[in-house]
Amino acid sequence: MTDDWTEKYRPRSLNGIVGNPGAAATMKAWAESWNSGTPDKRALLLVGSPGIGKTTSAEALARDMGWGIVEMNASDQRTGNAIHAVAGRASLANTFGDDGQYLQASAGGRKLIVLDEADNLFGNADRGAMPAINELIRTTKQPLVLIVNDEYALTRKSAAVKGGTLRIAFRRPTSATVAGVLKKIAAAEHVTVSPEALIKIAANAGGDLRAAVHDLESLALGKTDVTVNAADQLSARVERNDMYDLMGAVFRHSDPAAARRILQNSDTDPGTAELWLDENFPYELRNTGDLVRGAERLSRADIYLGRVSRRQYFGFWGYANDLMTYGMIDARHSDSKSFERFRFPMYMSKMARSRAVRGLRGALCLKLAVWMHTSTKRVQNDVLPYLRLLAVRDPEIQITLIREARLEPEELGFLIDQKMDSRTVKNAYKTAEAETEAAVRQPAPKKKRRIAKTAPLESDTVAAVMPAALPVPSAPEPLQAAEKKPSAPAKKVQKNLFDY
Amino acid sequence: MNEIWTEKYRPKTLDEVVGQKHVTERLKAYVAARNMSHLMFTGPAGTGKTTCALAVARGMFGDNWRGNFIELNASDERGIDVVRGKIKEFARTAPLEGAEFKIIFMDEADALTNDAQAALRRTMEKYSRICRFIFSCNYASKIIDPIQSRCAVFRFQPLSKEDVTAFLQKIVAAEHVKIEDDALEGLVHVARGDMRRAVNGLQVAASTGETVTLDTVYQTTGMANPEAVRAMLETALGGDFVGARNKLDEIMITFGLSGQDIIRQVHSAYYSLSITDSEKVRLMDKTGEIEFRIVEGSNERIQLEALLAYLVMVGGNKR
Repeated sequence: MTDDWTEKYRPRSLNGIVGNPGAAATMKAWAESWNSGTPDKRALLLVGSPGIGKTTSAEALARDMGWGIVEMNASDQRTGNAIHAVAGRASLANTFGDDGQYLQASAGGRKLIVLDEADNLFGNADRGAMPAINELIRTTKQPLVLIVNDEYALTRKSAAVKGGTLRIAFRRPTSATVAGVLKKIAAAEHVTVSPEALIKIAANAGGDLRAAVHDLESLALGKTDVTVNAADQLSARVERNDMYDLMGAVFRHSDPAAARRILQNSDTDPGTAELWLDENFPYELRNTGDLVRGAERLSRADIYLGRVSRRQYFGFWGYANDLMTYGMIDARHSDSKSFERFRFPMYMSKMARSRAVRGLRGALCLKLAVWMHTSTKRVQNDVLPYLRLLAVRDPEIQITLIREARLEPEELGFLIDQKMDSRTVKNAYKTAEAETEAAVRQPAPKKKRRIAKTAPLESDTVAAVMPAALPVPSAPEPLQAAEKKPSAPAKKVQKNLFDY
Repeated sequence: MNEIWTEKYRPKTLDEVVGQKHVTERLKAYVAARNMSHLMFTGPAGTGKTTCALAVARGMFGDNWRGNFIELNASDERGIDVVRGKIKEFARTAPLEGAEFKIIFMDEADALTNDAQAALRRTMEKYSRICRFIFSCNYASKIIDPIQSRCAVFRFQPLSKEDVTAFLQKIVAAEHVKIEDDALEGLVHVARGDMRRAVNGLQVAASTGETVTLDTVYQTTGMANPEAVRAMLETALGGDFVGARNKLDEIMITFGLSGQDIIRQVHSAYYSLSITDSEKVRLMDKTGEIEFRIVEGSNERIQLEALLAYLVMVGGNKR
């Protein structure tokens, strides 16, 4: 079995990266600075949308420099420990390089640590990852590359990412550039592709080079030539055009029959159409009465969509489509007109961000709920607002929360609306640790210290001990309990009420 | 170290529990006899149900009560799996330290699904020799009859103003809080018989370090309604739909609130909006409908937007 074309034609060297010459040059310069000792910024942050060569560039960089590579992506479990392990592997072990040459880390053979999809840290499963990444950025002995689509997802949590990394933005290559790449691949595969078809495929992909190569491969499968007619079959990625047509039919031409037809013939599911209408209707229906009616029609359509997904009865889609076309057009009673450009719906990307916040907030509330003998729901609604004020006003409350509710830096940071590596959060942990040491006094203060330090990272141990630690006013006991308990599997952490 | 007062001053024994004398006297009899039936505590939030359950366990088992007591919250672990797996597992292991039985405290039991409740019946009977349940819930009517009939039911009353006042005064003295008399009264009034709310309110009001006045009390209880939700409502009432929608996104992202969380806060903010009562009534009815649609629909933001558009209209009528 041969590689698919995206693998087969993946550039091996930075020289082969298209569309981002500046980024490649900066990467190269940074890598060379490692030859004269550890540079100021030990980590690169590669930012950009999917399929434009970020991972490829990182791998090519390692190859160009003759470095080994240690990679970690979202399919690996990325707890704090796992990240420490990867970093350790990079600095200690010796391996063979890509060309079979023996690389000895101790003898100067470097390894590039690549944390791919670093913005997709999944709540509980990847807990403790963020502190480990922060530490790595500051202390790594080996070059480090972080790769993200959504930069904000990382910098929101951590100032270290922003301050400690060299940020390199990757731009989408233009359609012409993409078409050029496609042309070369087609030639190498002995497939004749008409110039119009090349342009069509490239334009379709909207700058996602990987997608364009996939599309070309699927069109050329089992054929020797690809015509523009064949390229027209590419429908999966044209939804954007359909949606602009739909917006036009609904908001500009007020043509319900045409709108309904576009929806019917489009590959786009009604949920996506709903998002487009939702994004645009307030700019189109400026009159208050129109606005209220439009919102109401969308709301009704959404109920049908909810019923579709709940009962898996797709017959309701028809009614949702009716409400979104006939209903939305009928919502306009005034003759106000708009000439704004249609907007691309932002809801999805916004919600993707909120998912991470929700996970964090859920974990925080569950800890507080167990500690305060109540439910997460009550904590959310009745306790959190008070606690936020208290913790912001009084640093000693923060210390109580660290010691008794066993909050981790990320959770405390969320509560008081600070980053987890902000001075306030750090100071709170420093003080909590010092107080613990003072309270313990004897024996073996060294050991205590180690535990106090690692506790925030090892969520499994901490959470497992929580129920047992509930009523204990002094800190030493939960710590001892933490020592005795074998760490439970990380996944079930929060439900370990039964670890009696 | 400054502690959270709701935990610091949570009564440890039944004697210390405020109010509920009709309940605590009977519970003390169980403790004295070192035996009890399955119990059910019903009543509003913040009236001492959890505190009594903890106090019973302490009284019953002494210092080692933790080994024989487990606390579950049904609203967090509400499925039948919990009943079949975890509860059974705990119920069938022998009590520790020479105790006769263990206690499973199932808080907010009205959140258990009917299936889970039904599955509990057998467990309650089968292991009743070594395991007793204490259920706590706001509404007994949500607990299926077969479970109710297996329990001694205790009804907790909303705490009287005198009880709440006395308890707050105890904390005020112990923590050296400077507070004006009418401010204390205000706290008690706002708490509406919920001790947790009263104590939280007191601690937040006191945390400024200055003398607590009636103004501070109303300010802090107002703040417990996140400012952002209020700002969103006012933006909508002011006629700026897109601005209100941006605020909505901010709330959902920054605070991670779900649609239902937001609806709840929106609802409680209505009481202090400057619109007529009949407008409030229509708004509340609309809000209920929107919450229903969130449950039925697929995209909660679109449902909340319908509410914001409605608010734009209400505000427009006034303008």
